[in-house]
Amino acid sequence: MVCLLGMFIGGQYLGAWQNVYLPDLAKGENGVDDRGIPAPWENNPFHLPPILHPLANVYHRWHFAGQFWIGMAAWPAVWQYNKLPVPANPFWRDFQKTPDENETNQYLTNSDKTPDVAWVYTVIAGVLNILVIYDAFAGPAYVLQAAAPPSETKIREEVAVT
Amino acid sequence: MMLANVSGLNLFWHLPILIVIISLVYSATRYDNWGPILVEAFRWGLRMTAFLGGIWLVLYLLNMFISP
Repeated sequence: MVCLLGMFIGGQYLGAWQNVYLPDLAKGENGVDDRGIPAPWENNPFHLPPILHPLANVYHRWHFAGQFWIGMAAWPAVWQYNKLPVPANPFWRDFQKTPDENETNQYLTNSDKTPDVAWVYTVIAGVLNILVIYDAFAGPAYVLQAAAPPSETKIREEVAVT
Repeated sequence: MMLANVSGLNLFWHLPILIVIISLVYSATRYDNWGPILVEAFRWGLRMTAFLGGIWLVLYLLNMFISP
C-alpha cells in the first residue's frame, strides 16, 4: 500500500497535480459545445446514453481507467467529475479537476518528458492495485503444481477400508 | 557526469524506482512470506531489466546504422 500510494501521489506531484482527472466531454443527442453551437454526439462516438457518459469520457482519457483502481485516492476525480461542492482552498478546489486545456498545453509545451513519466507512475500504481485487490480477495496467486499420483500403499489402505 | 547532463537522460532515474516497486508489489501478491517475495522480486527485476535492456540495445543499434 505504501509503495502504490507513494507512486500514485508521487506521480501526481511530478505532474503538477494535473494528471488524475476525468473530463466531462461526451455529449448526447441534444449536446451543445462550449460556444453554444449544437454538437450532437460530440466526443461520444458510440452514441452512449447519458448514464454511460463516464465510459465515453474514459475513452477520451484512458489513463483514468488505470488510475481509478488505486481506490479512494482517485475518488476526488469522480467527485470533481460530478461537479459536487469543493473546498475554497485553491489546492483542494482544483485537486483532480479537469485542467484548462490551454494551460495544460502550455505546461506540456514548456516541460520536458516529466509529465509523461508522471502519469505512467499513477497508471502503474492503479493497475498494480488490481493485483493487490485480487490478493486481498483470493489470497496469493500461487502457481498450481500438479498433484502427485497416489502411492500404492495409500490405494491399498483405501481398498481395505471399503 | 556529462551523460547525466544530456537533456532528457535524467528521466531514466525513474526506471530503477519503477522496476523495484513493480517487482516488489507483483511478488507480494504471489507470496505471503518475505523470503519468497524478495527472491521473486529479484527475478522479476532481472527479467524486466533484461527486457528493457534488449529493447534499448535494438534501438541503439538501429540508431547507429540508420542515422547519417
